[in-house]
Amino acid sequence: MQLGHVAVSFIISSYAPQITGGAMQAFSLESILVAFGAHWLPNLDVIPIKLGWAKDSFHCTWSHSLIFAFAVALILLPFNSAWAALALVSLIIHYLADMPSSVGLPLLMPFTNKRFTINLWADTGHSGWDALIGTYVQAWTWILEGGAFVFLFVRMYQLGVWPFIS
Amino acid sequence: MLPRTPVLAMFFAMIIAILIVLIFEIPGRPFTIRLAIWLYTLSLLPGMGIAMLFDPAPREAKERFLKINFYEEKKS
Repeated sequence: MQLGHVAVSFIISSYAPQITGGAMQAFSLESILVAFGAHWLPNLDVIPIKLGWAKDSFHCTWSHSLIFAFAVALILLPFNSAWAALALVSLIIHYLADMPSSVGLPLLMPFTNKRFTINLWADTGHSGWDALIGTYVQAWTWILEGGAFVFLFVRMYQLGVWPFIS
Repeated sequence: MLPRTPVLAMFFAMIIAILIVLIFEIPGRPFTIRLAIWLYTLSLLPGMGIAMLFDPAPREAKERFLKINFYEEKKS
């Protein structure tokens, strides 16, 4: 998933009260920042690749494992338990959103390098214009990512936020 | 891409938009025409995906990409 992560981040933020036990409001700036930050965190693994510090094969490895999600949540826990809960959910949903890609995610690293995928679309690389175009010539990316934007629309309607304020 | 695919996408978008209105509309707060247009426009995205399932080109693109390993080491 590429652009759909934007919609998914906002959707997670819309469920912030349920995820954090009421500690954060839906679509509040705090919940949006935490959900976006955590949800996009795994994709920052392209930075060391772009800087030449890691190989291309570093993409979708450690940052896309469950141990990474729990580590991030554990680091946040002493500072703010609501942030930790929202970050954990955001990271796990990032993995679910990436599972349809053929690249597969090594969710159980370091215990096994087995990659888990439901293979709805072919992976087209970690970054760049060609990767983006390649993603959107395939059917299921439109269905799932477009569906995420439609679902976001429904959430905004249900919660009465812009542009549904009457 | 087949010429019929965008037309099919518009049809599927209509189905999706109608289903969402039927399932999620709150009686005291109906969708206005402006919001219905927004909903239909957004529904074109998944509608396009469903239409692409009936088009051979996206399937061929997937098969083409599956043959490429984007992460193999580049030999210098």
